[in-house]
Amino acid sequence: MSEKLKKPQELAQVEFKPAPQGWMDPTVEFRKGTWNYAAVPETLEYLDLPYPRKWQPTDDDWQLPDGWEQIILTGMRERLKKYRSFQVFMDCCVRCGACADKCHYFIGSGDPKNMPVLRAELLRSVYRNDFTTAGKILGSIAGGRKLTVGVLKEWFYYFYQCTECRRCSVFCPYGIDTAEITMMARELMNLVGLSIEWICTPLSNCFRTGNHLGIQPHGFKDSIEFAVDELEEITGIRVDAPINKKGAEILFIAPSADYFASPHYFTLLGYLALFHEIGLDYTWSSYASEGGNFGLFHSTEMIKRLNAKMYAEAKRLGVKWILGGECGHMWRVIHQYMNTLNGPADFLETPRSPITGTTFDHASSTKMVHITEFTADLIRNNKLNLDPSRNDHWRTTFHDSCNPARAMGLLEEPRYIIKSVCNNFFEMPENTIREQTFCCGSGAGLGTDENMEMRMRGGMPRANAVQFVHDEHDVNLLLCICAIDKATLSPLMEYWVPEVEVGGIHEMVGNALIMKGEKERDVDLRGQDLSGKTHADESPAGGSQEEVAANA
Amino acid sequence: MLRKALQQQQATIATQWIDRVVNSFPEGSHEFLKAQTDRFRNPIGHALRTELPVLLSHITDDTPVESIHDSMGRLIRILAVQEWSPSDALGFVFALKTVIREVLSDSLNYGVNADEAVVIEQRIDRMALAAFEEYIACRERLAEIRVQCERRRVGKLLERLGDPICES
Amino acid sequence: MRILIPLLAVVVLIAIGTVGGGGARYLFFVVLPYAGLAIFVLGIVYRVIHWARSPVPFRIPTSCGQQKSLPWIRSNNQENPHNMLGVIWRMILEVLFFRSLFRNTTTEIRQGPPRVLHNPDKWLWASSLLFHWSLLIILVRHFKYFVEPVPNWIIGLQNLDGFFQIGLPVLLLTDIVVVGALSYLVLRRLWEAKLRYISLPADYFALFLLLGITGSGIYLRYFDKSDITLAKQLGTGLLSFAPVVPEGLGATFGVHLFLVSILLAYIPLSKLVHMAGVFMSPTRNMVNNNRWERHVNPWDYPVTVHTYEEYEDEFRDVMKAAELPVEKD
Repeated sequence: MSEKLKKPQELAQVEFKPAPQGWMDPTVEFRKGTWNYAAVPETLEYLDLPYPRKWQPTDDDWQLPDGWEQIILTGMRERLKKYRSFQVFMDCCVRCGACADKCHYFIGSGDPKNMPVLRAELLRSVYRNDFTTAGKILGSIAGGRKLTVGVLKEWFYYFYQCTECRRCSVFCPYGIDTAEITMMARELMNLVGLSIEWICTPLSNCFRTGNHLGIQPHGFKDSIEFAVDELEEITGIRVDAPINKKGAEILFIAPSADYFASPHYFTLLGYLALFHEIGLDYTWSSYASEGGNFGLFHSTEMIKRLNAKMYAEAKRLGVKWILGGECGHMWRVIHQYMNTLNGPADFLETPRSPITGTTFDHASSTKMVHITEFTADLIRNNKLNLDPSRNDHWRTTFHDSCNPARAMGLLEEPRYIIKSVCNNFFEMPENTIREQTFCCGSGAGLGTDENMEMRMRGGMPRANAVQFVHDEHDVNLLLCICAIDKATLSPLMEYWVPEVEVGGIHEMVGNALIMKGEKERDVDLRGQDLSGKTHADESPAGGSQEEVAANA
Repeated sequence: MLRKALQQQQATIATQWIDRVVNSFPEGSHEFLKAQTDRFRNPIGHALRTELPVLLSHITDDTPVESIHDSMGRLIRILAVQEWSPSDALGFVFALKTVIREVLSDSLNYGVNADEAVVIEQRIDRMALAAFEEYIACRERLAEIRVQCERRRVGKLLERLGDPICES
Repeated sequence: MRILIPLLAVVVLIAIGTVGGGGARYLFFVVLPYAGLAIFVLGIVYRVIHWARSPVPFRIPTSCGQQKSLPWIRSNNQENPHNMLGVIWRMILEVLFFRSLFRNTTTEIRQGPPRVLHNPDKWLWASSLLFHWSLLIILVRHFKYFVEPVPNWIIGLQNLDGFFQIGLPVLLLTDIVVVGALSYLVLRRLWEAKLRYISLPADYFALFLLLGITGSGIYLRYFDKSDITLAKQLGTGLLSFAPVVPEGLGATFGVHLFLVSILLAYIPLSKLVHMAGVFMSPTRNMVNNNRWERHVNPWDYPVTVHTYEEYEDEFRDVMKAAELPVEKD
């Protein structure tokens, strides 16, 4: 929404905006609800990042350092030499347009600069101008643009409107991955001190305390103990949740939102119940208490600085292998970056399920297993006593989170678990799931409040598919395996499909899991009454979370 | 007379109305919004194609105002989060007047049926008010969501600390 | 402007070809083709080496199917390769059949089961595929101008191409297809708003140039009915590095050959290098085996981390108070 009020004569013109002439002239208006607050200087200082200062994107003067153009161009040259992906993706796009209507931001807003090809062109035009012969000679005829403040502002605007979801790269005949280009563009902007608060604050918190919120060790312990208490109230069983326990067999790392946020928290209860029931010898860690890694949204260097904690802590505690919780971008880091950045982890052993004896050979080098792989194996080997009817009040669908889907291929494991623990499961249409899944619209560090309109637009294609299964099958629960999803799909549903709530897979596992010696379960992990309920229609939408809060 | 003409031209009016609304989206997207018929690949275009005709039949056939509630809701929910000013977001209702005038100018003189024209215009105005209410509701919901988000993010933490926001 | 400039450029090139083909014959029939070819070969080699010199620091395949994990879950080696064989298969489908462009589907909702249908939405895929394949076949057909005797398989290919036996000289299918597909590719850039928006002069230039080449080629074959033996004399001469410029090759031939020379030289300098780039794309040509085979980053360097010791030093008191185990008392 425009911040300026309209004049009366403008109000009368209900018609249409003048068509902009092409995209080569940078035009960007920082409209409220679309952009993110700038990083606060203290966080950059704590992380030793360059040019900390107080500024906002709406300022006319961004207080760029002297010679900022050279800083960025030098950084670009460096990265072209360091990343083949970047070099090749700059050179070989033919602008065929296959990606154009694949981006959720374009679909939800119609802004043509949100077409992946054009987002890349914003950067590619500068590349052409300064790094190719044709561009140096022919300039704008060859599609080149000089790097100006306007171009830089446009970069900031649009590269913080990309969630690095990789959907476009699925459809590109050359596999051009806009996520890769966005990562490069953000690294370049970091060089002159341009980043956003919602990325840098969690980064510095995580660096210091081990988690995004900056919760200190005793607070972390409190959270886990609180969950143990609550689980006891629900199941009648007091589970053990060791923290920083040396010599445990397995180190478990989950995204920190699982301890503090709703509806993540119910998934945490699910983990705790499951680990207790199978008698897993495991430990949490307060030092490596964050599975997520906002470094992925900032720079490769930052990924490495934060991710180092996982192996270091596994080594210190002397565990055999690492198990990872439900989180999307965390798993892109673990699957595609961790071993390269901080491996080899030869002090660990090839993961082997102590319950089923299954060896996870596919993780023999990183030594880290996804919890849905672990649980699917348990169910397959009949190690869990499950009563799926305890999830009968839910009619579920599954949202493939971008990173597990398109940077891993974790598609069947979660579905296998859902089908084992829920009686009612309905897939969304084919071109909105699996490798074609639509992003939540708020990933890659964009899940904050000030850009809410942008998030609603970007999440609309996802919500639209949920609406469809809600209308067709009365679906009332959207399951996912990503902490960012759980945080951002909830408001998305509240806006677009308020009848649908959001949950995690291990919440469903926790509901269905019949624990030895448990009391009659009269509530599910959310504290919702189970007696005589066949459908969640008695609990008003969104009400359940507040109910839990109010009961506490 | 007017009413009959409207009903006869309903399809044309609907098409032109949809076109106008599509054209208020950024240039470069119009083709896509119009041509892509897949409702999952193009949810905005789909919503315009399904909901605007429902609103139109409220004008032409005088269907009860409750009958447009859902359609209006679905439309405004989309328009209320675009990068538009409130007047841009609601302008589509008034654009209908222009469209009707343009379409019917050939077949009859709009001015002649003054009484009927007044009735039609009143209905459009009534629809504008309905749109306005829906728009405000959406914006309020967004504001509420912003508050909820913060609460959710640290909900369990606040709860343990006996936070007054959560207990209220 | 974005359309006019490239159009003008191609028209100018055609004019130069017309004049040159009549006048500076040695330059246009011998020097420029050699120069074009040299730039093409050296340019492509340079490009590929240039790309190859940038390392691949991380293994980042885009996974479009089920990963290889538990033995009882069927993995999809073609869409998410877990070994070299899968990668080769994936690349073959990508390069020869444009697998990714094939992914577009359109959903249809029907009354009665199945409610949701996914129909192919394949215009771009079909036209690109037809265009590229026709161009390849046309290129191969042209070998007959360079070698004597003409291998049987080339004759066979040409016979297949002229399967319908229409007209004289026999109408070749690929000639129609290539012009049709090229025209579609131009028209969609002009008609579709979002493509018009993203298209650069270079995009039109490549298409116009190709249209100029195919157009002049078709004119030579069907209307001008150029003397094939003369063309062949030139071709074999060029190939054996003993060029002779036969008398009697017309201006249209000059245009055709000149535009081809320009195209050859233009390829490595432009987006047309995508023909080589597709093989180098890390999201497509890598095995998704990250978790069982470590990928090494050649430029990896140490970074500042926040060690456990530093962490414990800062929080030791609260950790002890919370009865969390500590390393040092």
